[in-house]
Amino acid sequence: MEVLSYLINGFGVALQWYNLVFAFIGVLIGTMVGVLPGIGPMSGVALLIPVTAMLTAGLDPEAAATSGIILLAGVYYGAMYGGSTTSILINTPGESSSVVTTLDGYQMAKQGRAGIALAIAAIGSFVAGIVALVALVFLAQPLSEIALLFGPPEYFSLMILGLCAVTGLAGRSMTKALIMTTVGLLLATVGMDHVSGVVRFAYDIPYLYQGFEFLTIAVGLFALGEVFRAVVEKDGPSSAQFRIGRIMPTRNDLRKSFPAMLRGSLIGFFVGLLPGAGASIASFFSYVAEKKISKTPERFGKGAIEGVASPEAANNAAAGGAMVPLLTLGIPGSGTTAILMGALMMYNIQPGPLLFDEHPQLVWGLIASMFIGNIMLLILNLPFIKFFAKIIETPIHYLLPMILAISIFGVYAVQLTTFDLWVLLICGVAGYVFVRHDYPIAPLVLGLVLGPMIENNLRRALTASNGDFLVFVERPLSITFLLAALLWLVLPFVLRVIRKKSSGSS
Amino acid sequence: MRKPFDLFAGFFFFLVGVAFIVESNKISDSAYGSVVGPDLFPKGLGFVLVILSIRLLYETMRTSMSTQPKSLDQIEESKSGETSHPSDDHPSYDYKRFLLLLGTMALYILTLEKIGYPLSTFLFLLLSIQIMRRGNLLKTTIISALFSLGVYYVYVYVLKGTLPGWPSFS
Repeated sequence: MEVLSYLINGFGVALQWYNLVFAFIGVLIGTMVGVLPGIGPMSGVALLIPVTAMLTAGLDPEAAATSGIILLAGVYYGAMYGGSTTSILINTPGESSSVVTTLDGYQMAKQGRAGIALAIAAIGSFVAGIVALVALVFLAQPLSEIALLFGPPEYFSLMILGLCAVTGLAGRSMTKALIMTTVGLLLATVGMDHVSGVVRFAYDIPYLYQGFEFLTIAVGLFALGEVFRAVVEKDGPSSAQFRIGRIMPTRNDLRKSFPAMLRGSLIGFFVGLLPGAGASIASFFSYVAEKKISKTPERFGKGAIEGVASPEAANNAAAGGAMVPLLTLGIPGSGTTAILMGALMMYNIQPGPLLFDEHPQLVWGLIASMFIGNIMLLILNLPFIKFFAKIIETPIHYLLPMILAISIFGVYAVQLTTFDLWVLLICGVAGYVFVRHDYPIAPLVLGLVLGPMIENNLRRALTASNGDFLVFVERPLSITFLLAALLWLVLPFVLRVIRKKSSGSS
Repeated sequence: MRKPFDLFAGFFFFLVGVAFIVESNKISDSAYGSVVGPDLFPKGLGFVLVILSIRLLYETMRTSMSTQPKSLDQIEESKSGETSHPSDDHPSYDYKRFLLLLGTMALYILTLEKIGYPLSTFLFLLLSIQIMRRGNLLKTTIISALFSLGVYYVYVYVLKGTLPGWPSFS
């Protein structure tokens, strides 16, 4: 029971008073981020990286990284909790992953059962968080041991798979998503080459020798981009007309929703494991599954409590599932985990199979703190639902300028140059323009994070094989990953053809 | 009708790809005797980008009106209003406010190191909140002052960080 002793050590780390505080701050801010429409988990986490860096500045490096990642992960799964609140109350999903919750959640709110819907969403998220963590505990170590057998070609192919998976599911046009991925990878090549020390594409601008700072790009594209969108499109939160009503669900509600939560958790976790799939897809799948197995599918869309319980459980479990490839393989499967990975790398910690050996304190501390964070969220959410509902009413003309000021402060505090602020500003405008025209930005950020690692492994593999590209095809694991990557890219086309045929015949 | 923008983007990314290919040729093509040098990866990506941008141009020319199957993203997007080209004079797009805000940010960045963090942040918030919604100067002033001084105090005095301080007039 080696795992258990590691886990107990992890709780020792997570229960240190300052880590409890960090987890609490994380889930609290996360819930707010989730509640506020317009700031998604990605911009929330990106915005908080510099704040976290300064909060943890006094600790020794490993403890600082542990506390930092505990806070940021708290924001991530806290946002999953909070996202449901606006879906239910004002029919406006705070995140894309709670889009499905609007279907039945808002109907419940209209029937005066908003409180119960919110409570079920919170309980569902809690159950899912715990299920995902138990699975994470038992899956993470074996997976990372398998990953230790990988050589450079396997890593290269696996990362290509990760990129293709995210690209294949992002946005409407795969060409655009692929372009964004490539641009991300190209941006990553600017600056000093890690293998040979040659400076590339810097054009004698000293700031560029270190390459583009990941944080600057991420905050610019996500946070500033969203603020600009809200400013141009006057996209303020609609005024809330709601009555929360009774909060505690009845025994009958619980009996109906509990199996749905468990099913949602399992679906969510396994979808979350897949690179690229993520929480939105997970919640969508689980809703469809719930409707399929229900004896009374006609109730769905009219305030069925399972229609809230299952997708809410699924999107939270997916957040847990997405941590698995990040921690064990060092490959982020979604935009948010890519940003978490960027944060780890800022602390000089390389996620991947060696993480469990080199930084057991960090990994198990993080896992244990996710248990604790989930309990905090449940306690936080049930009594304070009414308080969080009030956040929706924050006037947008104060909120947006403050987000801008926080972005600028965050980037400047870490970089201490105005050069990065200009990059930030340009990225903000670019982020808005890209999103407006359906160019997804998550693949760009993923490319930026993975770029140096992909290049390293590519070059190590090619150096070992003396420039022979066949090395990626000859090794069985590597070719499997590459074929899977190809499948991700081809599958949507196949599905489209099938859908066209079936819609043509019906 | 995202056509004009996609055409522009296609050309833009095409040029970026070409630029990376051309510029990669100036980088050493080997490192420590290895057959692969630092030029390989960006050059390869440059080619990929060129091919992709040609495909984007081709797709944009071909499809103009055809409806595509609805995806999750579309559901998400439909809540934020339909997208259209920036040059459209859509009544719900507020470019004046956006440009004003952008200018204020540029001013903020320019003045940050000259007049220091607290003062420039205060002015930035004051201006940008007023740009967002004119009126209630007192409340705006109080919020801006609290934010800029609060952040400065906590970061510099409590957390011992570095930020440009007050102007010295010397």
